[in-house]
Amino acid sequence: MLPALPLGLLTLPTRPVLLLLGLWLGVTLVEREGRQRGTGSSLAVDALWGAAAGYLAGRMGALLPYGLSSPLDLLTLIRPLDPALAPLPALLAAAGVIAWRWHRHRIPWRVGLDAMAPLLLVMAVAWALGDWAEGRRYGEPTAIPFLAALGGGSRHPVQLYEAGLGFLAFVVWHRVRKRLPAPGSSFLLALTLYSAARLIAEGFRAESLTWMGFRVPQLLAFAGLMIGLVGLARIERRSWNP
Amino acid sequence: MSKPWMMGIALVALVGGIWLIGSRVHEAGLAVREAPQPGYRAPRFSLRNLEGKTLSLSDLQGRAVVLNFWATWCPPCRAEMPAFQRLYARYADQGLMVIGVNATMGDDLAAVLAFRQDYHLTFPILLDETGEVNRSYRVTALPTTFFIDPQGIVRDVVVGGPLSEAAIEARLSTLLPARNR
Repeated sequence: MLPALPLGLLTLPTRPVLLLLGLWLGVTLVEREGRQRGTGSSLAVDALWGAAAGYLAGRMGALLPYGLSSPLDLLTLIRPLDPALAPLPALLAAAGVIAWRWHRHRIPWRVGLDAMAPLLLVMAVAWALGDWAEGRRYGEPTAIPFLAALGGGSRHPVQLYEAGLGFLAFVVWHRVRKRLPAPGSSFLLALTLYSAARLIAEGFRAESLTWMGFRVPQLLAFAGLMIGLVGLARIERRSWNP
Repeated sequence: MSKPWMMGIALVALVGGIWLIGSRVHEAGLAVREAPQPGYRAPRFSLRNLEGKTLSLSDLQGRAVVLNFWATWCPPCRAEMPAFQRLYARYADQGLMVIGVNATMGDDLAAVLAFRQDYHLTFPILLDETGEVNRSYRVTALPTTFFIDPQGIVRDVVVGGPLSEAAIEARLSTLLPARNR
């Protein structure tokens, strides 16, 4: 665990640094994918707007229900040190802003999603590493000494499993994506790979939101996996029977 | 859909389904090992307060504890202290305990006393004169705040500050589920 990076006189919080690095790398890749798809750099700008809207909505969703005691508290909404973030408002706001911008710039949504695919995979890895650095979302107990040490003493380092599988998913996506020229297929491949990674890693998580004993993130990942595979199969059938 | 695709999807669904069922959550009970991270039992300690009395974490079993590591020379620590005081005054009768662990090994006792008076702090200020508790909680930056539930399990850790009242209160919702909004 490494919650803070001591760099001489400066001490940086590891998680926000990793998330910003992930965003920078992801947006760079989105820009490259966008150029290859003939949309220029506008998709990278859309990604940044989406990230900003998602972050703000996530912070507001996490903090506003408890009220702001002073106008100075407004600053905490954009403060990167505090990890409180409501995921659903964040996702909805990011998706809403990006969809609105695509509609305004007449970007086909399948092309847009394809270009956004690397951002999804890179941010998943950065998020998992940030969780590991701060010791969040820890794993089940394990007796395997090497794994236990990585997990902070006695736990599966499930965040590292998630990051490792996420990186593997990115490598596979990067190698395979050019063989999938049909619009939408690159995103579906990323969705399939990410969902498979999450389905595996979540099985080692100690504390998950559960429904009838099932881990909700795993159920969602299973649904994502099936949607991705069926979507890819349908695109492949269409390419054979245009 | 072609036959190989159908078979592939069926196989993935089967393997995924088995893993999904196999990794269902069983009631494993709360963590018993001590570590300064979410999900683990908060490391035990005993420290003297400003009146010279010893307070132990184990004395607070059954109460939600906000453990704030701070120093008088640390600007964000000073900035967030009034929020801790307000929330302590509001929720103490609902089982909340706020504890300020002063990094006395690098601070001045007279400054701590003056600080408590200036900020009208009524929650316990404990003195970590040797730095042992700072080390056992792996405090790498000030302020660092631990949110510990009534069972003694660390539920959240915030490195850095200042934390706003809203940000602290957001975390209290999981520690004090019965509190009045």
